[in-house]
Amino acid sequence: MEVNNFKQCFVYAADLLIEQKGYLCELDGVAGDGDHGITMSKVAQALKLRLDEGDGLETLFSDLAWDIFGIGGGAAVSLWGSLFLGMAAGIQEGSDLADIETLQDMFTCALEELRTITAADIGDKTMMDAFIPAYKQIMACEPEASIQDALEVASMAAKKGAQDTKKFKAKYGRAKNLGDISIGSQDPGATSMSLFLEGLYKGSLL
Amino acid sequence: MKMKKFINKPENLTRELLEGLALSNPETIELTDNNLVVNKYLDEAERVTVVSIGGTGHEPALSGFVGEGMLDISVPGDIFAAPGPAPVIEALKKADQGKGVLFIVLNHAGDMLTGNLTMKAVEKQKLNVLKVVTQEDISNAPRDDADNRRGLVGCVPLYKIAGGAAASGKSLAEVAEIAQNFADNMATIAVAARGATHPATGGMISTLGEDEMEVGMGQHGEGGGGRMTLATADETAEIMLNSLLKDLDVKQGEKLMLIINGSGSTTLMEQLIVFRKCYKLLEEKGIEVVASVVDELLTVQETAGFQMFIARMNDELLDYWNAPCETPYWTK
Repeated sequence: MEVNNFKQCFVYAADLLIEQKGYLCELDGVAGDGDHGITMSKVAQALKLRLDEGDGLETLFSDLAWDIFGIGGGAAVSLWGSLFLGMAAGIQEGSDLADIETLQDMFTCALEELRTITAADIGDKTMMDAFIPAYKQIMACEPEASIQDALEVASMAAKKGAQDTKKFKAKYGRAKNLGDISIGSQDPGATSMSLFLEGLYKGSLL
Repeated sequence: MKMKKFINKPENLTRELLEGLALSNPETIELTDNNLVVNKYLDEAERVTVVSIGGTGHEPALSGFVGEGMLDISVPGDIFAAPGPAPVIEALKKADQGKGVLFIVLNHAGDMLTGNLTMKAVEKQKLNVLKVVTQEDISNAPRDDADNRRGLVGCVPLYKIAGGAAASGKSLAEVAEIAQNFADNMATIAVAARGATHPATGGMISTLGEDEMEVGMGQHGEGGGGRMTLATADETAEIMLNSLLKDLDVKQGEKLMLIINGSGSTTLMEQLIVFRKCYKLLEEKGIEVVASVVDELLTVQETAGFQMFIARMNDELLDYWNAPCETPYWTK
């Protein structure tokens, strides 16, 4: 896939997060303070601004990470900034092609970076419930798989992971103080991650 | 409950409230373009400086306590949300006047992530910064599980103690040790009778029945404690004070700081009545109140309720507590 088309995936993902702002706030209102959609649309706006600047992917994502680190949006800011910082580290600067290996490197480095600030795993009712299954699917792709194929399986796994969070009790963030009240509702952080991956996949179809 | 607030565009809340704070206190603080609230006399500070971070919507905390004798820079996030690490790293660099910076973080998920990412950068860039975390809410975890205890109003007296110690000329290591010792000897419990609306979304951030109160609530209307039928001031004071004394293992003959912090719409009248009962109960137990505040220091919008705070005191801490300070919402 050409880098410009790959960037379009991120534009689509950003638009999807902005479009779902109200839904994310609603989910966050169950056990948080109801502003996750606001923060995620700020993150998405920052992403779109950087995409518009036309830099190479590595520069784009590392600059984006620090843009996000400048947003006053709580835990999501540190987590999404770290995600993009990691993605930047997985990219060979100067290439005009994005292939499956690039995607795998981006996700591997993103997970490593996230791991430096959170120990959350599957079942803890966080964004990691969507990210880790998606990561696993991407890593399991054959070298000849297309980016589109990889993003399809990743987005499906993320969606299922996000839905599974309904069963879990929150162990991180404000929601953990509510105990069992968080059971039955889908985690907003897992949902925004799932929407992001769904957006990447849908953007790859254009 | 429908939101009734005098606000403009929700996305401008933080900037507008900070501008209001800076414009009304031109002799003590300055506001930078990226929302750092800075002690106007920072450049003249030949001492350790103090920086803290936290969401807005809790006024006067935390930016209302920037000035000589307390915080040198506050890094506000957005409503109820921590700032990201980028402005914090900038603030720590700006704050350092050659003697190092004490960096105070409240234990909430977002603040802690930002604090940890910031400290990674501090190590990389070899900045002279030590971090102290406040985690004094007794309601959601036992004392030996401090990582799960939230930081509530205790940050405010800690700013005063740290600011006092810094002004006395102590080194960064000493200021950090004094601050840590004070933080280790504080305890807070909150009660709420009515939740608040989130000023940016208009949504209710907690709901309680008409005749209910909840003891042990977080900073943002998170639940986490016991719901019971609304009790009188004296009954509520006794329940809360006893759990604080037990948690901190306070003994007869000890000296305490006692703060009743209104959460937003509980009247000063109620706060004073609660304080009175606490004071009398402590007197009966032979425990002396040597420092006290009854006021709104850290609020949660129009939440009805209050936070009760105690901390173990000694003569040295009392000196820092009584040292002069000049900030928008605290002058001594």
